[in-house]
Amino acid sequence: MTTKLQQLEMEVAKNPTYIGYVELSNEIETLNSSAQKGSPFKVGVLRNFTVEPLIPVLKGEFYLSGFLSEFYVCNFDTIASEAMNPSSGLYSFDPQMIIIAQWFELLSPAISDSFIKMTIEEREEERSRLIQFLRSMLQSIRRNTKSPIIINNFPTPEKTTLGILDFHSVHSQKKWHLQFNQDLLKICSEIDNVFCIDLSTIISNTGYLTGINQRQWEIAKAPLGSKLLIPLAKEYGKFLRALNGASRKCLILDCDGTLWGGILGEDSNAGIKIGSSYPGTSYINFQKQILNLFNRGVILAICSKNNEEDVLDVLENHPSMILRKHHFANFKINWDDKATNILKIAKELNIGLDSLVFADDNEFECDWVKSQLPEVIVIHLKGDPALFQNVLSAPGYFDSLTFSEEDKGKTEMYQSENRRKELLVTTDSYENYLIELGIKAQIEVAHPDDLARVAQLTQKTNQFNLTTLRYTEDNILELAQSKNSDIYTMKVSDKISDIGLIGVAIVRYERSKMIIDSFLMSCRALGRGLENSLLTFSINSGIERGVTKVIGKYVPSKKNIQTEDFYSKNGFTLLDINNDHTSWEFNITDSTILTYPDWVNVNS
Amino acid sequence: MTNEEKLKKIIGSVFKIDASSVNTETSPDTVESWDSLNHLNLVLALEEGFDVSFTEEQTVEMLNFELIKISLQEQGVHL
Repeated sequence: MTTKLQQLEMEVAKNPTYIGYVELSNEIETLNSSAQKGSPFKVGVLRNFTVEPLIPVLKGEFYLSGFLSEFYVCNFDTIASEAMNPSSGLYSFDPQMIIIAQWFELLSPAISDSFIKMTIEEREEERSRLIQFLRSMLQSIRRNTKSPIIINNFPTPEKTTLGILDFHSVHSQKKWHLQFNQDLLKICSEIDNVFCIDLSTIISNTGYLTGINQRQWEIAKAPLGSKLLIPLAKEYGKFLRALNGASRKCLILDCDGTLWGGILGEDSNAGIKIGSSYPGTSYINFQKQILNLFNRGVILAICSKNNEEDVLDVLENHPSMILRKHHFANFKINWDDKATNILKIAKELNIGLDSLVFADDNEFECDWVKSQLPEVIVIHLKGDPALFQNVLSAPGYFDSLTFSEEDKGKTEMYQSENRRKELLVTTDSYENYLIELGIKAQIEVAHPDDLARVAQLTQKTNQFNLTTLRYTEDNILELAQSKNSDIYTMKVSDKISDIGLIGVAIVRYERSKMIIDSFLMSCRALGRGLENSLLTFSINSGIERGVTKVIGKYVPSKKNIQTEDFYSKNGFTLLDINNDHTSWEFNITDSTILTYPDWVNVNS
Repeated sequence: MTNEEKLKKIIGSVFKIDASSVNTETSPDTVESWDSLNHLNLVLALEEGFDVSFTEEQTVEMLNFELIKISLQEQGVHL
């Protein structure tokens, strides 16, 4: 039986309306933090305008992304004091994410009202003043908390003081705004963990006149109209997911009616609709969008009720196909039910169900998968195929805040993984299989070129991650440069393929102690003794530095239960049990000798 | 759902009260959560829900259940 909450969730997902979000938000508020779904998450909002109508929409949207959010909204025009004062309400609330919501007319009445009367110098001065204000506010917040900050940019005004002439003038009002947004982006990149949400584009996509409620702006300083609230909240949701390892990693696609029009079994290879005329063009464009995701590092798989050889024939031989066999990491083309097939795909790729998105044009299949596997996001491709590409890209399920070289060859890696599994079947024991693989591990102090990948792994790795601390590239750079910490990376290859950088250990030194701040492995490399090799290397490096004790921490999360006994299995003893973590220690004596597993060839 | 039921549902949701308790007595005097901010949310929700656009006067005046009904009727909603 579906609960009222589930009903509201489905309603908002199918037909997002303001009142739908209000009802969902009310229902969420009746849940307590021990609710089955959703991690508690505190959001602080600093604002200079009436953001209240946005809050229930954010709450609903964040819940749909798996977070049970709680909000602190500062009073009007208290941004500066909240930011500067270490004992302000914002900091006492201890937010995990901070949203700074500012409306330009209130930020700079001078530019908004008297642009034409100002000299060019005065306009420049005003821009510098605003940028300096924003910079010092962001710096103050950064001094007080490490939580990520999301600040909005500003729409260019829909009417300018010089009308049609403005666009043509060298020092136009529009250009002033564009430059201001550029400057804002620059300070975002200067200060750690600050991200800019592109309000300007969200407003133009909605339409300024449709999205901005001029009357509510005048009555209550509430400019965001109901048509704008939902896309804006969805955009904040993308940041929330990307910052908390909740972005999706794998897209599973149906074939008939999804990758091409028509039914392969009836129309045959030559008869399906894909090619240079509509609706074949729509499927081409949809496939291009999927190829873009592939290039970004999203893993692709096929789950289709068809004859396998027919589908493979299209993938290999149809002249119009954009997507080819090598783009897919896994195929389940048979007549079994799709939920079972999706479970198999997740198992074979070793990724969680909550990393999957499934897209199908068939409503029955969509509803079935949704009911059987609620963790999977299901995209129902309905109606005009020309819209499919937007239906896939708009929600930003795969959006991430980092992009590294490793992302580009992700699917190939999973294909190699399939070849490894074939080898396993032909070898008599698991140990012989590991020897047969010829695993080589290169463990070293993180190379400057690898820091982006290291940051990304801290943000995305959920399952084998002892502390689940998320770091940005800036944090990682700082840790790499500090004398009191080291970052070790592990790159792995075997005779089948180069697996890449898949393990990270971050250690800090406190006098004669070495503290393992983070220890994580990408899940595609588990079960080969590699995690032990990385730990051994880290401890050996500590010994060389002269440490006498190594402290490890395990912070349980919803997903890292498999690492619970990692330290006990590796000779650590339990030191302390706290509310949210356990600490483990490893004493180093003269006789401590740590070795690597026989089958792993380390740094040869 | 009739328009009257829909109206009660929206009022109930915005002010976090039971929709069935909404009646002619419902006003800022009887509903604690009916403050200026929630009034704003009410206007947004009604405009979206009934696909209407209130005049400035209506926005300010609809301060009880009956007045909201009148404003909606003036906008051509059958109630």
